Amino acid sequence: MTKEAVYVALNKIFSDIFDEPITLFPETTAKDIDGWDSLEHINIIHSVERRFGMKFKMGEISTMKCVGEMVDIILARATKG
Amino acid sequence: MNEQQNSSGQRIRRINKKKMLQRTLALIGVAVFLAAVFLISAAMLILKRPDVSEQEKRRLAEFPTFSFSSLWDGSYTQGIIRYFTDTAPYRDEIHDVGRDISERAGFRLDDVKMHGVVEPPVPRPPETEPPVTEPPVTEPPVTEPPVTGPVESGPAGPVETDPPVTEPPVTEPPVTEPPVTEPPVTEPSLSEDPVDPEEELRKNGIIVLGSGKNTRAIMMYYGSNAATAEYVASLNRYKEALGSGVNVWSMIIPTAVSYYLPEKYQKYTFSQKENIDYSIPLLKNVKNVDAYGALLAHVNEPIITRTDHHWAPLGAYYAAERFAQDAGVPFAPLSSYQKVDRDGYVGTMYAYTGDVKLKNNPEVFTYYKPANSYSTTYYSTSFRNPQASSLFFEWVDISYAYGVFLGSDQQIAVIDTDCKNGRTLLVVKDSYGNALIPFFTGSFEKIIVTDYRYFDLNLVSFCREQGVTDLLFAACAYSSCGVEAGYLEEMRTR
Amino acid sequence: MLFADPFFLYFFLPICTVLYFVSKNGRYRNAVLLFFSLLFYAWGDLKSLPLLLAAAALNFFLGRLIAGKRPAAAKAALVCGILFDLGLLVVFKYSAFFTENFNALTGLSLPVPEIAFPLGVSFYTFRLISYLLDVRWEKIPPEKSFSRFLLYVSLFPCTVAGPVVRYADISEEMRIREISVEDLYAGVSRIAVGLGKKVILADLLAGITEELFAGEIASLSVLGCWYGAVVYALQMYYDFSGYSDMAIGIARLFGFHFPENFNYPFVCKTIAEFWQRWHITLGSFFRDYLLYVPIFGSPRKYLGLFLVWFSTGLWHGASWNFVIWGLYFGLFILLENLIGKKRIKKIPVPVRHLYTKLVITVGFGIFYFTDTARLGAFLAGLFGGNGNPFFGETLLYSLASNAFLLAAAVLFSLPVVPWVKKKLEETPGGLIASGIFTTAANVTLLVVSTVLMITAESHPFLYAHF
Repeated sequence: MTKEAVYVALNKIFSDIFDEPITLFPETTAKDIDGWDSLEHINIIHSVERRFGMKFKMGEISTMKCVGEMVDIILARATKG
Repeated sequence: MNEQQNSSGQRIRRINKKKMLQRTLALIGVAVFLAAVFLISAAMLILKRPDVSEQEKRRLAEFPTFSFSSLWDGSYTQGIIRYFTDTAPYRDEIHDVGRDISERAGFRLDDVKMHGVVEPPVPRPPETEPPVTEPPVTEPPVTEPPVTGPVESGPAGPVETDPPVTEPPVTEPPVTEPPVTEPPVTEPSLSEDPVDPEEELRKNGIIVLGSGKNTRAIMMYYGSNAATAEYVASLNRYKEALGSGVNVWSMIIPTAVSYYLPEKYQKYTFSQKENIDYSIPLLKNVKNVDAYGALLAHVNEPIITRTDHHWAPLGAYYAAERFAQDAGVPFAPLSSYQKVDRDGYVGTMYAYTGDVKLKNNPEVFTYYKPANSYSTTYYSTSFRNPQASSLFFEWVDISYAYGVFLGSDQQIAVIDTDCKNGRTLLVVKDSYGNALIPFFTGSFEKIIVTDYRYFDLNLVSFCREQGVTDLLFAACAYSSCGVEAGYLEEMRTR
Repeated sequence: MLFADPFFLYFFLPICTVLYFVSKNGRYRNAVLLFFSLLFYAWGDLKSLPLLLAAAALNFFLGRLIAGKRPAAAKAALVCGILFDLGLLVVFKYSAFFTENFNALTGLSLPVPEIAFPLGVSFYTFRLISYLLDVRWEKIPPEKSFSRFLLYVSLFPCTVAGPVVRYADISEEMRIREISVEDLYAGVSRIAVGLGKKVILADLLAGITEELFAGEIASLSVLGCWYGAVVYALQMYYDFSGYSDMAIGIARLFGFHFPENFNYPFVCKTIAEFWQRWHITLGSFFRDYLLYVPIFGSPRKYLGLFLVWFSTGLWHGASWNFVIWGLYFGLFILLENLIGKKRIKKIPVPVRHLYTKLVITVGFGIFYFTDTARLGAFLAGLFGGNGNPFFGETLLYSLASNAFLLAAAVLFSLPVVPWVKKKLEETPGGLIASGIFTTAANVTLLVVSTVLMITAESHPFLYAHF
């Protein structure tokens, strides 16, 4: 699975959750997206986990700083394309 | 190109200049602040620390004594913290400034400030009027023996035979002054005092009104008919026990709230007059002394202190006069007394409220010294350890001005006078009663004064032993129409 | 020992500061801070000092295990550490509460333990837990020096009431601290402002709350109840944020940058935003270490939310009203989440302000009344349920005699000072004016607060002659 494919999938997940077209970049953080608060964070994590057939560790959930970090974890652990 | 370099150079210089300015301002700011802190620190450590507060009428915290247990439980270190603040140099003056600052928190509407005044309808105590009051009035003969039988009472006739039973606890020795072994006179009763002042204040609320020399603090009043009925019932039982040889009198003393609270604020308080009026028809062979009316006739004179919770000696004079008329005893006119003025008096209402207006408007405390000759002896609350002293404690500090009469409440005073009419008056009172006493020196041959809260014997037996002819219950409405009955019953039945 | 106390300000702190600055040596400075931190703790609660030391030692040891090479040992150490730290809280803060409720539930009458509450235990256990988890998550390396670790656990500016400082926040500064004049200036200004907030505003406001709420609740008018709750909300804000300011300011004197704890919470337009501005370090602690606990499966958003707000409530005190208070806020945050930010944004701003201020006001009422019966009377009173009148005249007298205080309290709860300062400092002249004004204000706040602190130590012997 390529990085690009992950971004395409993530863009779709985020756009669905926030109900508007969103394009993510590696350096995108919660501050950049209006409404990405700690509760939405749970929704995002949940959707990403289902989409890629993987699990985040609790430490990762609370310490990942930007989308880039999330993508790295997905690439390392994804079981679904 | 050159120009650009130039302008950016200028910008850098300007930024540097701004940085320098900020740094200088920061330096000054830090220096000034630290100077202030260290100055105050030095003052705290070097200047003399007071050990008494005139304002709060108490000794200040002492530096704690070291012990390993006090260190371990933290009382030692907490004690040091408390000591540091409580005995700060010039602490009383600083407290005045602090209260002035607090006063700036706002302004006074209608020249009024309310301290803990509760919105009406004020929680009235449950009132079950006739049922409660009637039994004691009608039933005494039936109910009294079971209640009090074992200790004393019984029919009024065999009074003289009773003492053997009641006397052992009373102990005769007082007159012969035996025990030098009992010097600690009255300390226990102090700690037993169930009246928590803070609670009292919170319950009642105080309105400070007026300005200048008309500033006055008025405490709200929540006495009840039910409590009044219990008080009367107790007096009736005393009368029953003492028989026809002893006149029993009830003087319920009204306070400022009865005379000086404007109509507008009446809704925040209950009526003392209502309670007093309620008491009169319930009295059985006990005579009412109309202090309310006696004071009402003189409301334009300084009969009640403005800054203290007590009445003024002048008010006590008019009430005493009414009593003397009722009792048929001689009474000296005010002009025969030596008048003493003490200026600068700020009473307890200031301590209650911390209201600067009271502090800033002290009053003159005027009292009157009788011209005839008399001698005063003080006893402990169990009537031991007689000590001759003065009726007037004229050396008390101005902040205790009302304490000029009899000093403290926690002792029994006996005054022998040159009025040889064979009548002995026992006054059972709270601190309001103290102001009455000097005016009786020309009216009774012997006057015994005890506080109802600080008396360790049986009062009925005591009356008989002392040959009391007149028993006067004189206390403010807060006591009589409040908590007093319980004490009276305890003194009667113990 | 409290910060807003003359003994601390004029004895403890000056001595500590002077000794700290006599040398530039970092080890020496840390030693001074550690000594005074332990002294500070012992001064307040000597009996509990051994517990603090033991907890620090154990967590220090476990932290190294967690970062060790054996995964099984690391995991066991983490579990042990968190259970121990939470166990401290449960035993020392909640055992009486739990026993009472257990008794009430089962009808048993187990003896209710009377355990003294160790100073600052709510805060230092959180510092320890965050340390263990951060080490586990490799956010930070474990501390190698026990004395530095002990300094982190006991650091006196945040011992008693926070902020909840994490190891990651100050791990760099534990080693190297540069202290500039600007740092000192920011520090003393923060101390002065915090002191003023606490002693002048919070304590005077407390007098009003006391007068209204300490007595018979049922006789308060409807407006009186609301007034009391608003005053109490302001009082709590100034009390707590003032304390945090002092903590941050004192730490700044010694070169530490503590995280901010309050950010003008009353300007919020949603309840979620309120909690991003009120007690920030606690909220982020619960967010980072509790919200994402993966124990609930797919509905974990709501269960996580429940857990966070239940814990937030209970953390504030061992009493049901605090739990109710926490869940009450959780409920509104859930509602806001269900409605969605976009739709909330379409609601007019004044309506959003009104909504948040109402919720916050009632919330502080719940916070005040630890006695459930009185809490019930208060909630009923807010809506006239006690048969109480809508308006009582005593309210007017209270408003008048506290008019300036209340006006100042409302004004300074909004970000006016930063705004004015920013405007002013745009020109060099303004910069000077601002500097002079700030310094004058600092000294005034210090002096006035000192007078009021001394005045507060008042215990008149009232009934000397009743």
